[in-house]
Amino acid sequence: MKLDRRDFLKFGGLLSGTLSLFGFAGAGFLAGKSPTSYTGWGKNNLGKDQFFNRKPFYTNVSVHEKVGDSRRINYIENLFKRNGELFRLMKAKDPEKRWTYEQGVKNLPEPLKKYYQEHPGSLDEFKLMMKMSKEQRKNWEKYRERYALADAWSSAHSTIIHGKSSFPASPDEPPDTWDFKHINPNKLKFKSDKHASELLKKITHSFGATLVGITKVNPDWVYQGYIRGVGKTQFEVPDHWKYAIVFAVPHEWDSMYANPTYGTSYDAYSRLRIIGGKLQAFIRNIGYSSRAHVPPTSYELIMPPLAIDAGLGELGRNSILITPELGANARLAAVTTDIPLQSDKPIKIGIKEFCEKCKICADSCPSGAIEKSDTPQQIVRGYRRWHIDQDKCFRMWNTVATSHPRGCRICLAVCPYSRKNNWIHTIAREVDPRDKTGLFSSLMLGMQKNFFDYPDAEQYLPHPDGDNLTYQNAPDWLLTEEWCNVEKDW
Amino acid sequence: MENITTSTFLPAIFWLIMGMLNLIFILFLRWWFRELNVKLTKIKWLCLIGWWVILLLTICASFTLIGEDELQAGLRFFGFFLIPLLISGFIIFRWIFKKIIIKS
Repeated sequence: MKLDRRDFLKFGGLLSGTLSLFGFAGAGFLAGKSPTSYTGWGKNNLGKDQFFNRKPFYTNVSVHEKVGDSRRINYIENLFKRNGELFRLMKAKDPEKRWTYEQGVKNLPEPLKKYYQEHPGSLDEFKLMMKMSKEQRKNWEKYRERYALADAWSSAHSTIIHGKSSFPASPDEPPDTWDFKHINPNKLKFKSDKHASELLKKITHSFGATLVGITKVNPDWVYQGYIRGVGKTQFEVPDHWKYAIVFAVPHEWDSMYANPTYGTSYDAYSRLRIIGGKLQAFIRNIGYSSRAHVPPTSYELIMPPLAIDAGLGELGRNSILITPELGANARLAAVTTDIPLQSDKPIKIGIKEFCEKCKICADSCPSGAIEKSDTPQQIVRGYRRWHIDQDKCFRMWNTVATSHPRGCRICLAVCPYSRKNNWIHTIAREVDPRDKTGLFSSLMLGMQKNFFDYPDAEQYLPHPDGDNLTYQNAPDWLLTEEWCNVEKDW
Repeated sequence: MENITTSTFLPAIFWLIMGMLNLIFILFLRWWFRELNVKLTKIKWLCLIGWWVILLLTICASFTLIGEDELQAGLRFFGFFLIPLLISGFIIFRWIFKKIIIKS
């Protein structure tokens, strides 16, 4: 067959157009698949991942809506501390000290008594949680093979969190001595506060932090009534807790999308503990005091408002920090120090306004713990803000098909901001905060709600209430049936 | 697949080839319009190339979502934008070939 010039041009031109269409389809597919597009991971951990340009969004106006007299959070308002204390009372060996439901709230010691008198529903939730916890342990045998790899993976991460091998070591002395332990007497003098801040950020990134910010410690974000190394005590905020270096890392993305059963909080927690412990040591080695505040419960500071002050993000409807880079998939820790530093400014990127419209996390929450009202209604210690029902949330931890209560994290996975750093989500991330009309976010949200499939909230639960669904499919490396000889009956 | 997406070399080559293919395609259109004696003004060229770019980006965005394991979202996204793309494509086609259509 002879191909003349005309046919050659025609054929070549059409082929080019067709190949181009296929090429863009392939490029798009690979952009979606690429692990390098995992938000906040990037190709190195040297700070390049904090890619969102915050400068246009810095604000001098307070981002916390103060509506009355504020106060510090009492340690008993922390669910883990409260539940732990009540649990110990119920299991006390000494019958004189033991407390039972029949004895009623009036026979509880303070501050538990006051708390439960003010929050009567909280004790009912505790009772329900204890019942669910027993069922969870009983049911685990049914799910053990299916989630064996996920459980082992989670347990591996938790090894540095609990027990004697935990890192950093828990303070066993008051802050005035512990925070200065092994301090280098040859204090390094910085050229300026700016130099100190920049260096500490670089160092924190080098330890593996994805996001880093610095803020002065606002006393409203410091716990009251309990301090590590001392125990229960009323205390003034120590003078040397001047600044906080706040840092965030995401959960491993694929397992996070496969919550509640395949994901774990311990992966991010363990990394934060390593970063916090190293940063604490680094600061003491250059001659200054330092104290690491790390998850899950080794804190004297409340992290989300501190991170907001440090310009890392804004508070979301799910009551956790939403950052431009990681969305809701940002876990937090901090190190307090007396090094004179330059604080970052908070940012306003329209998260509150977005959350007012979105409500995807509230609709997806299997426990119904997240507020569904259009605007934040609750006043928490003098601030109007989004607030979740911790007791309901924790009950859910005790319900999902895991070996023990180790979290749910559905609200992290379904958040439209918790998306990969590929081109389509980057466009949304960059345009939305700049659009003051709110039209762009409404358009994006319309697409999000109509194009994406979200399981019904109860489908995340085990049988018979749900189907053990996860938001997205689990990665192959967490599927026991992919690697081990197990009989798949699910 | 990870080798392709994490390579520092292959994406550059890929986009070079994509650029060349699109250039060839546009040169082909220019040649084809000459063959048909259709004269395109700058604004018509702009509309035509703009439409082509939007088509490419729509396909790319749909497949990005599919790549993220959001198959339904990718297909719905494509379906949603396909209708306005087809309508606008038809309008641009009629506009470019107006004289030929009237003559025939």
